[in-house]
Amino acid sequence: MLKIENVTTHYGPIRALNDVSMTVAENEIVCLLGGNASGKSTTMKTILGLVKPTSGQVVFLGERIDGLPTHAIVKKGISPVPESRRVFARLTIRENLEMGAFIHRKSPDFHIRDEMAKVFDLFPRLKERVAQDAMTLSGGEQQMLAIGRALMAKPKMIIMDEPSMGLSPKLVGEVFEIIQQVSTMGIPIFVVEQNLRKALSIADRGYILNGGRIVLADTAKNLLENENVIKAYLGE
Amino acid sequence: MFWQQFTNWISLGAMYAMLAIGYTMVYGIIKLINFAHGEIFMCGAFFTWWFMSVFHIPLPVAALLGIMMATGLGIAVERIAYRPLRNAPRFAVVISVLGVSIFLQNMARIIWGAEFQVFEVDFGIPPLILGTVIIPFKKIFIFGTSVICMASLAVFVKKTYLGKAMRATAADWEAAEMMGINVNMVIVLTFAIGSAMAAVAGILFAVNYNSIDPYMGFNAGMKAFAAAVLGGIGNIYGAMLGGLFLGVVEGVGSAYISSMYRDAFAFGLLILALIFRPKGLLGEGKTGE
Ligand SMILES: Nc1ncnc2c1ncn2[C@@H]1O[C@H](COP(=O)(O)OP(=O)(O)OP(=O)(O)O)[C@@H](O)[C@H]1O
Ligand SMILES: [Mg+2]
Repeated sequence: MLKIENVTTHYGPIRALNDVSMTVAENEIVCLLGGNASGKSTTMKTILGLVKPTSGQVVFLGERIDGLPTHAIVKKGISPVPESRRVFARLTIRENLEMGAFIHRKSPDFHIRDEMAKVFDLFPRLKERVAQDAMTLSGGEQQMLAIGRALMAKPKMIIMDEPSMGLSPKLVGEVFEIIQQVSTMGIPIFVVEQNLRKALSIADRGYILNGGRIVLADTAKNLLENENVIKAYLGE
Repeated sequence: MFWQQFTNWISLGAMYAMLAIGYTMVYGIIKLINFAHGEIFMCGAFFTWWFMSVFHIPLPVAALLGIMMATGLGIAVERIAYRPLRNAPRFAVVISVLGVSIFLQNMARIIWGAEFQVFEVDFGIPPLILGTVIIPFKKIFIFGTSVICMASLAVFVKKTYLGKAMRATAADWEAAEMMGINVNMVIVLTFAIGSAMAAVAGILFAVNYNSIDPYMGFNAGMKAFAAAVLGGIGNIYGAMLGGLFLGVVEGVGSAYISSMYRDAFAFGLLILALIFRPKGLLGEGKTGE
């Protein structure tokens, strides 16, 4: 479904990704694991067109998307849950969800109320607070809002950057449960994580990124049992 | 006497407010001041005058055409002076926009001449008399038009999909792109709305003073910019409040202290505001981002 082929990405002279290839297939949860500054967010940004790769290509549903502007990539069906949530602080929860559905604002067979009702089924806590500004939500609730907002786009795929960041262990558990739930709705998920064990416990496959290179790729089960994983992750 | 003058002050303040909105909206999205905004205000008035005096088109139609042309000009300013420099250092953009501003001022001077032009409008409607207060219809027209424009903008920003997308873009343009919002389109829309408001303000200014000149945009622009900062730059409601407040302060100052220092009151107020309330009366980009 999503194919990243030999992608190298630079920030000026700094090479953040080095010949990275990976795939996400239908109905999969794929995780990308790596330590700080390993290039996880850069991979997300490259998929989303927020940075352009210097070489290689990104293919989504058989079509090259590198080179397209971000909003056009999102319209093709990739919905992001960005690093540190990036909810619109001074928009209400309802307005944030409406922004998630922005790409459907002109389609007559899109019913925003129905979509919002689905999100509220998943996150009842958001429903109680629809008219509040997003900045009044706790970190965990903001994460729920960011996921709900991505779902509002009726995406063909969701990509998440560190959804567990800054959350208590209990909330991290909740977020990963939600990810599994979203996956059972038939939406493939590509999730970037530092929480190795948790991420692998829900994923089908995983990639390990270090210094901008993929150093290991395997099924989640194999990675969980492979004792070299921690070493690869730490770059030893 | 006081109430008589008060109607003058608030109609002047409403014009500043209309012009201030453009500064604040553009700043809210691209975090830069549009120094050519005063020239859009001036061109709005001149285009309208031109249609009226050369083609003998009645004011409502001439104004509509003038607003459309000024809006087009505002969009062109974004295309020419801002977009190619999206990733350039800030000072480069400031210089580019100052260049556009000087260019427009000089074009206006070459086309229409440097001297004043008479902008005659006769509504033929008697003044409103409330006891001892006589309010010319002109003032009611200016204030009424401004209120209608600003209220429409407030509803647009608060209620419509595009208005919300605008607020989202002002808050975090990258996240807005990630929602599938075409940020370039939102920026164009912002310049268009700001320019249309500036053109209306320019026409109202001309109606008020019955004269226009190529430099009218500079002084009014500086004051409207002061009003935008006073209200909290990036905040639409702040710009509205700042404009009205500035109109009243300027009026009170010139009526009770000295009209020679008319402009000094406006900028004195700006300096005081920057010292004591640097984020403006309503706070930077708080409600209307
Ligand atoms: N905008 C930028 N300009 C220059 N260098 C950047 C930029 N963004 C990231 N980098 C560099 O690219 C490398 C990879 O960064 P990236 O944000 O992708 O890492 P990450 O794996 O997401 O890290 P973290 O776990 O801290 O989120 C780092 O060395 C970083 O300093
Ligand atoms: Mg990161």
